[in-house]
Amino acid sequence: MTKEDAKLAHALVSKYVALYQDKYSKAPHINRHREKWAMQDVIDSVGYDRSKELLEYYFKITKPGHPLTWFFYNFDKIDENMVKLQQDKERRKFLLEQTKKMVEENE
Amino acid sequence: MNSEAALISSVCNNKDISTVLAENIDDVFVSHKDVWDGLKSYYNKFRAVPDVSVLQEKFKDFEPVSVKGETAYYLDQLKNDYLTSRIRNMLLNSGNSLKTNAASRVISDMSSELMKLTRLTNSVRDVDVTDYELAEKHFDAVRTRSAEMGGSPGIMTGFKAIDLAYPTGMAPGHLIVMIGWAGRGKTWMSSYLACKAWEQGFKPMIVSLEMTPENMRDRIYTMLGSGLFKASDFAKATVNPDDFGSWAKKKFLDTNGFILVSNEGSGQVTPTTVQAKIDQHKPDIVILDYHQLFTDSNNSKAPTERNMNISREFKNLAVRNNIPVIDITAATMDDVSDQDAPPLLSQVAWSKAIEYDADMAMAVHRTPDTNIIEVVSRKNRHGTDFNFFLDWDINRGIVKEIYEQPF
Repeated sequence: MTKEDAKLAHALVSKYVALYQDKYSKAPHINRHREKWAMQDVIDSVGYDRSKELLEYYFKITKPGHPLTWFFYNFDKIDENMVKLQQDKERRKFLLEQTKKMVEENE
Repeated sequence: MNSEAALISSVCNNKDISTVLAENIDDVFVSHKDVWDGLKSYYNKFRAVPDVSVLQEKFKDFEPVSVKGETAYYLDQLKNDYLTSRIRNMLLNSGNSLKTNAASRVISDMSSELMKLTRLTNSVRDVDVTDYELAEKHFDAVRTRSAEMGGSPGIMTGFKAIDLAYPTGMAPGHLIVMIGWAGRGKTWMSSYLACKAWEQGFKPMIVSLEMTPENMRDRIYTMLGSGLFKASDFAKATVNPDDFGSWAKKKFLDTNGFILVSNEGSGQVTPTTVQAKIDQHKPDIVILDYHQLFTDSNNSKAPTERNMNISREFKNLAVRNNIPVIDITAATMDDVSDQDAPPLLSQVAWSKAIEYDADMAMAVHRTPDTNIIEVVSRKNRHGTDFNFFLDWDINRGIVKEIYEQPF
């Protein structure tokens, strides 16, 4: 791991800690130095920006305790689901326009 | 005369095995099961019905019966004999079972057994596409029904978007599935549809396993009042009795019933129970609130299997009674989804069953801490997909359609 990579992985672990504190009003029990290696794997898979989005989304779902280990094992599923939801958002936007047109044409 | 032997003899005489095969009733053959299997196997191999003597050669104990009627007649007789004997057995077993088991358990077993037998009292229906005269009769009937019902063969929802995209309306035999996360407006939406049906002169029946009939009635009054009363006043019983009395007297004068059914939170409710209520009240539309709280007729323990069975049984209720049925379903929580948007069909564990059974599936989603409810179709077998919003003052029962992004 280069120094630059380590910095990014550390930044994401810090992001996790901040999100955890916001949600539970206490700091999580994690070993930052060990977790940075797993976080680096997440960055290698989906990139830094997407990893950050996934972490933010992780805290919107109902997983009790939001353990970091669970995130490392399931970030790909969260990613897949986010893609699906984004596609649905676009579809709903399109349908809303179509529906509006249909209603106006029949008034 | 043994009715199994009579049917087999009739098939051999009349050479019309298809009458029996179409009914898919292998399990009604008991004493002559081997002969029936032999007959089917001969037919499958040689694509011809053998002479009865061929069966006699193979099955020495088989004694053919002299028959003169149509195969369908003997088929009816066999089904009737089979049902009679099964019902007799069921009653005897239930009587014995009552000695050691609770009555509720005995009723549950009887329901399950009756549901299996119901298959033999229903029949599949065939339509020959080339019989265009039959088609014309059907079109006449649909046209007459549409004219009587204000332009659509089904019940209109009162929402422009849905009524345009779903031109049949909530028609007889349709299963409409309403999905949503817990507490996001599914019950309000379906109760509103019931109110709209009632205002058009239909008789709705809501089976609520979640709320007491009194709570549900408060909601209905709020919606029917459309701004005259507040739901909170009904809940606290602080509504002005004179205002309410004079409004209700006028509103409910010479109208159809509006039935609310509840199990008061106890006891299992199966589709058979719902059927009994349909027989009792003869509603024009049934709303089942909600799917996960019902029990299937087989009393399945595995949740996905149970829910798939319920979905199929609800569809059967709609078809058998020739009425629309609305099935309210909570989306299934999973580990990788938030609940910030209307659920996808795939976010219901038994989504495959909905895909097969539902004529229309829509997701209903209220944005937390707002009056805004999004309604999006997830499946529409009879028209196009749609999406729109409702500005819903739940406390006053006032609903406004919105066709712009509200946020």
